[in-house]
Amino acid sequence: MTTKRAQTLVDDYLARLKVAAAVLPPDRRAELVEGIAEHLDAAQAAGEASDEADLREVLDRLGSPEAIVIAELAESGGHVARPAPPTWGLLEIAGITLLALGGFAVPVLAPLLGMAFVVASDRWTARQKMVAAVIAFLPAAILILTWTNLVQVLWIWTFTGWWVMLVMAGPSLAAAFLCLFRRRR
Amino acid sequence: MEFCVLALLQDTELYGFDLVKRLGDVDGLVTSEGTIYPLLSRLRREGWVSTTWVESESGPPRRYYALTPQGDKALRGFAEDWERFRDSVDLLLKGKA
Repeated sequence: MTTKRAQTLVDDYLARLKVAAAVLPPDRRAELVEGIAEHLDAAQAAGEASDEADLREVLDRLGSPEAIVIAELAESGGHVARPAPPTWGLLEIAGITLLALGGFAVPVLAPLLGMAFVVASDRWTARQKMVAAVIAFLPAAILILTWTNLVQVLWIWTFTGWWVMLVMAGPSLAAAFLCLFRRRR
Repeated sequence: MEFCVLALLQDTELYGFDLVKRLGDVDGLVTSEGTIYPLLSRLRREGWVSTTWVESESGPPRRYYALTPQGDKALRGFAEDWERFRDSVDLLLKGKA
């Protein structure tokens, strides 16, 4: 048969099953959904679901998708899939490396690029990104903003060594901060 | 329940739908046929049943279930225990013990 209504019933049932099965590890989930899909296909091939009422009975006999998933949890010892821990992708590694070491090769510019990568990543919250940016670039910003002020220049001159160190080290400190604090799942 | 599955497979291979339907047809045994599939999956992992894929005319290939020697041994062990248990209960029910 496979009238449109019947196919919708089957699709809805399988969709509910997939949602409920989201708590299962991937291999268990795949096997379970395949098995039930096979069952429904076989029922239709055997002519046991030749009209909508018959198909509803087949689905009734199967039971609710949620009950089937609970049975699977019981059979597999209740191993629930854990969400994957945050991983370090190319974006994160490039961002942290440029922040931590880039400043010593190309001051300010390399860390800025690294910071852009960090901002693009979803491993950190907006607040963590903001704190990192402040740590990384505040010394450089102060140096640049005060450079034009002659009085300040004389004052800063005596501490220039310190400032250069801070400008160089700011991004590295920010990288350390980002390694310590990141989004937890 | 798992031994009912093994018992159905002792002489023949069955595919999931057939197996589940036969169990479902036994009065009072299964309330939700879908829960047989998780059970079948565990029996496969434990090595009591094996599965083979067979192409089907209508849709996805079908998984056929068969008893393994290990499963056969488990079934025989259960059958012996069951007979002993059943006989003991029968004796008690008849008031002869």
